Amino acid sequence: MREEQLLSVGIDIGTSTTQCVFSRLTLSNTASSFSVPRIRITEKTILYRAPTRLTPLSSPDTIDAGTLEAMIREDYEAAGIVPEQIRLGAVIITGETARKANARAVTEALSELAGEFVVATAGPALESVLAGRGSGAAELSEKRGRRVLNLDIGGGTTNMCLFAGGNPVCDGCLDLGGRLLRFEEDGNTVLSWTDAMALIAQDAGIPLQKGMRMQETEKNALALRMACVLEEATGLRERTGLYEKLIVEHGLPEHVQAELYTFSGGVADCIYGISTENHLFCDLGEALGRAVARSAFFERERVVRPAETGHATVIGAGAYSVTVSGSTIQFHDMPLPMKSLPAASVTFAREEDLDALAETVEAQYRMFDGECALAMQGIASPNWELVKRTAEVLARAMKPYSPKVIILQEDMAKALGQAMSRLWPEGTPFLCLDGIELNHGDTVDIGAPVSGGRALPVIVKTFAFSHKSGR
Amino acid sequence: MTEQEIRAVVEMVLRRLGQDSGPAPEFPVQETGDVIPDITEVDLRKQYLVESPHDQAAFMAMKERTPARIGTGHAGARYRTETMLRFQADHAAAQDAVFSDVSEEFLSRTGWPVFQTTCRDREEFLTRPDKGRVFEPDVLESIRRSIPQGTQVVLYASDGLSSSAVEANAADMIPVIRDGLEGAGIRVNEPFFVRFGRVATEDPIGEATGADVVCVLLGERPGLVTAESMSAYLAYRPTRGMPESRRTVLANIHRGGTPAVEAGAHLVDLIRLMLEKKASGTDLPV
Repeated sequence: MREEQLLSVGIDIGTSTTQCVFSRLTLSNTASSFSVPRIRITEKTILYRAPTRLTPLSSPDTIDAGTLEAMIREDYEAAGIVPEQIRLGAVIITGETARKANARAVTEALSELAGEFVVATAGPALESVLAGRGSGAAELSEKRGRRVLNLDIGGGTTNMCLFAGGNPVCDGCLDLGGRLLRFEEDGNTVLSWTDAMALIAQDAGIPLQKGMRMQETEKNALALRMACVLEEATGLRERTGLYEKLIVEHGLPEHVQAELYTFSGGVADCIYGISTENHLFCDLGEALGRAVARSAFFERERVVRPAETGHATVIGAGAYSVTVSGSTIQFHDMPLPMKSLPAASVTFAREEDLDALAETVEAQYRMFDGECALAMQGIASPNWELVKRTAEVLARAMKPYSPKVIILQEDMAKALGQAMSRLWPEGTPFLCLDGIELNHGDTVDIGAPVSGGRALPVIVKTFAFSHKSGR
Repeated sequence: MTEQEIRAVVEMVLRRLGQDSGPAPEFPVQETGDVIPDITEVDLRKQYLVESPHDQAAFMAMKERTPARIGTGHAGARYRTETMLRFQADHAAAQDAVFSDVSEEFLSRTGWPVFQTTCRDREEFLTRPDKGRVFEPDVLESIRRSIPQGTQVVLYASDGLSSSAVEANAADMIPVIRDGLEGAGIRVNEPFFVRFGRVATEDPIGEATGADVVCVLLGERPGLVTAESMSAYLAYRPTRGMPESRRTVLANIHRGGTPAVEAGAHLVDLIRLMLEKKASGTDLPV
């Protein structure tokens, strides 16, 4: 089968800046022509990076939705792409901006505007994973066989994710970024700061006052303290009370053992000395970058410059958020795309689990008010009798509910799906996928079929992923 | 040197060896009642025999991606005993799969009627491919009579070059296909088994029965990775002498490849597509 190309968009609305990137994903059948097809994303090409702009705010607490929308429309125009061409993608709202009053409404509106299967996402865990994939840290961990920790230092937050063998192992997020402290246009007069900055300044013994002129030494002292917190977060220095106070949701485990470090995000360009225009931001980013460049991370040559730095998160959202289901799946009469379906975890990995299966399925449907996808591990290479028995149990338990969506990890969706379909009236809308690993509480978006209907694109929005590697 | 002379030399050498080494050494045999561990049960992808490796984790990640026997270490310039024995064991399994027949126990359990090609025995089957493609007229007639008029799809299994593959997969796969086709209102036969059969047995069976699609599940020539890999060969209205490009094949059906039931479910859709497009092989737009 020939290759298929899909246009994808990533939009990152960050604390300091908003970015938009268009990519081309190539899907092809990686199995030999004498086998069951196996559709994979085999190539990702960045087509167009829109210029990076400051995220527009109409008040300190509100995103200027109108201006933002106009900006994104301009990007589409400049790229020569209309939203109808976009097959998939993600809008991610990150860092400090995710806490604005209208954050959710803005992302959802933008995702509608951006294309049919462009999903709205947020959350520090997902951001950490996407930044690490987008920067190339995930790939590096696979290629080098090393544990790679990516630190994406943006304006408002630092998102950290450890990768091993290409997969995320653990993540953490801190209220720490280049734009916690802002200056007037002269670059020295203090304009504003965040609560997190107040904590850092207090700890470093530097008083903050609006309108005060800050000396370079004071900036450096603040930046140094922040660099220390990053060392604390990653096990390179003993943890302090300040570190604990700056954690967003959760930090990295205490004994996180990384072999290589990569930096991405806006501040990374200052760390690697790539960009010369950082003084234009009039914030602490440049000083922070210099401080990190002199920190313990850089001892013993364990820092690698990743393929992407400043655009890591937006590329992650546009090109790395989507996976492709297994290619032997069963679905019909489903309205696709289906957006934001919560995953209800159902234990089914062994024959013994069949006994309680009906009960679990009903309990989950009740818990999610009927609106969920049933996520199960499934059984590797099952026999037909077992598949038929499973189909009978599931068909009966799922009958009253809708949507009827099953997502399995093991390769058995087509056999199970066919068997189940026969037990319901013809034309009952139903979808049974495999090759996708889900955790309880994840949300999935399922796109319209690709590759002549053989596979479906799936975007998994993880809020917390299990601490295990491997697919 | 003639054969006789060689034999004389070998006998002389053996006599001398016997004289020098004295009585044959006795190997103590421990009577524990236990069976020695089956070395073929070790998952080769998880076995790593290199001593003091530089980076074992990276090597293991590499092994995850290939069934090749890498990371086996060495003893001097040669394989280690364990590696050597495993290689021989896997080779023996492959040979067994080729040289043994599908067991009577398996055939009686499935209850599939058995038809035989013109090969008299396995020996002939392996040396005369031409005879493994055809039936005696009376056998073909029995096959025809066993299949009801109007059957659209004829489905059967055949030993091919691996009896183990058929025993491991066919019984799980055939009911998936039958249930799937019958569920779609397609008429399919009760399965049967062809002994000493090759792929092209499809052609006389297709001609005799007039079925639209003929599908044979057949053991693949075994390799060292698995002796249990099965293929499905399908053809739309096959005829004797037709080009091989008219066959559609689905290979690599085994526990570590495509699981039998998933492959069966895939075949249901493939057969429906063939019936709809009235084509197979390279003529079938996929």
